[in-house]
Amino acid sequence: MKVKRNYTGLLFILPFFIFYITFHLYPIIYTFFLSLTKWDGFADPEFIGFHHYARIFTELGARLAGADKLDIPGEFWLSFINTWRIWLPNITMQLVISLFLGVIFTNTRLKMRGVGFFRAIFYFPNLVTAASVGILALVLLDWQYGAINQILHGPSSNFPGGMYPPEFHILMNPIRAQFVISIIQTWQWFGVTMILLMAGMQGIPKTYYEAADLDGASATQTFFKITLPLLMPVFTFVIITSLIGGMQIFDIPYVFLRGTMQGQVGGETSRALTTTVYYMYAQAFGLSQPNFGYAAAVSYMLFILIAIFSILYIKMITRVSRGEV
Amino acid sequence: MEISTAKLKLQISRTLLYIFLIVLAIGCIIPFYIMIINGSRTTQEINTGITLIPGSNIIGNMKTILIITANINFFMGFVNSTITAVFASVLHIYIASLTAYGFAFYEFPLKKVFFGFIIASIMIPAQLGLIGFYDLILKMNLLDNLLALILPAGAVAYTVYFLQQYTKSVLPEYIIEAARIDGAPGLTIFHRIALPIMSPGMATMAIFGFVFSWNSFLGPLIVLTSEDNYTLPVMIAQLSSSLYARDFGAIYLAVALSIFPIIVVFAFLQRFLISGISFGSLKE
Repeated sequence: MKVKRNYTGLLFILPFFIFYITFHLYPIIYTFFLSLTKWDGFADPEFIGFHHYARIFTELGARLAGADKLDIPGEFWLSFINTWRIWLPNITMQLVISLFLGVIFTNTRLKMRGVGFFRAIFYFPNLVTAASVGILALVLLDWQYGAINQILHGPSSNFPGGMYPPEFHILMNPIRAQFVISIIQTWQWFGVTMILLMAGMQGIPKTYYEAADLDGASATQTFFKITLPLLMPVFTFVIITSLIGGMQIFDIPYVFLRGTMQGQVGGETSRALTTTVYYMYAQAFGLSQPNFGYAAAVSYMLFILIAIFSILYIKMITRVSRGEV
Repeated sequence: MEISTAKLKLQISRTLLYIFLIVLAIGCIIPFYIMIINGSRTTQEINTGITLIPGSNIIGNMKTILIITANINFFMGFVNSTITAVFASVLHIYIASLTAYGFAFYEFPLKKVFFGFIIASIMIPAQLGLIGFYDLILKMNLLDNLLALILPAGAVAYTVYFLQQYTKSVLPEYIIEAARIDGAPGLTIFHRIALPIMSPGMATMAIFGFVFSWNSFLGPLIVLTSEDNYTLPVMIAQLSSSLYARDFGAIYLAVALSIFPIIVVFAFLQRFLISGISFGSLKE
């Protein structure tokens, strides 16, 4: 028996949509409107059309033309590249570790024990406040008294003048600082990725593996011919959600950039840690003359870029799985 | 002979894998362990090197934190975070359950459109509406008010999606039908019959909601303007540039306290969370 169509159901979903439209949809639409204006937060927004977007595209053109990079104020693209430099090593390390763990935990010949225990431990860092993790990383990596330097080189009092030489200042180097954030991100997320991939692996019918076993397939062959192809839907889910989240990274770069004032992070480094969302935040809330209109445009550009990369990835995956590549 | 070599090989690889797993597990835990240990030591002790044995300065560090220095009132941060996370997760879970139930057990015009809308909004990055949200908060006069962080929790699309799937799998349609034939009003059926059956799934999402709200940073950072209203993450983030930034013992202890509720949630409720993650991915 099917319920007859009436409007009672609408009453159940109404509160959600009231909240959704007010606090989510309206701000999204209004942000787009603001991206077409010049607005400092005090006077009324002044409509200027696609000026902000044009600025971002012009800067892209200049960058691609290869003019001296330091002369071009392409901060948006610089921030976008920074974001990728943090995300790409992160997702790569995450997938390698999680796939490996998933395979050994679900392997029927190995019969590993304590899966539940390890899974819980690996998941734990994900729950911890990113801002707190950022501060913790900053004190552990401190150039003078940080625990990491103490482990690697002994206490700083062993060195002349009671100080480590400058090459031990981990966060002074832009590439190292970006990579430190990649490692922190991997550390926070490989547990979740592992849980997702394991759930996917357990969904693969056992008969496939038995057949492969009978045919004398090696563990490597089984992994590449059975596990990986059948895992593609979960894999895609992991990569797309990680891309959406990773492109929005803000908390840890923010904490690290605040550390600039204490000399823990160098000037070059602070350029390298300016991610796109941090850039947007700084344009809107970090200037004495706030640039809300431009920040809104940055926000939309990032959204468009995330969408483009997601679609490109899905297209590529479907072509690969159809065997066209 | 061959069988025993194979067995030996398996045993060796198993041992190596366990060593690897233990090293990885230590890697996940040791930063927190060092944090707790250093939270009980003086800054001078911390500077002399690393140890795995607790110090004796936990009271001293606690005093440093609780004395309101540099406008950082740690106790108020704890209160603000708790208020926000509790109210946000209650609002979030109640409205999401109501919506999920509506989608699962009612037929109404444009139902597919509304549900499609929910699915689509899951994929939208949260940063997209941030500037517009700030403007909305200004217009609603909610700047520097915790309500600005609680009210958006009334519409979490992913939870609706999750609970709709969950409800359909645990709550048979005939139970609802029977109650309807008995003439019970829709909302009464929801409260008396559906909610108790949906509660394990609701608990899972409520815990996620609590953790999410406790950890959220960018929203509170732009909405809260006075130090008295700061939530813990915002307060903690200021430590990197604050007056006692070189008092490492106090910083370690402050960070430890800020994640204490998260450790409690993890210790007692991690099963819910892990099953929640796997459930979500398999339904994709």
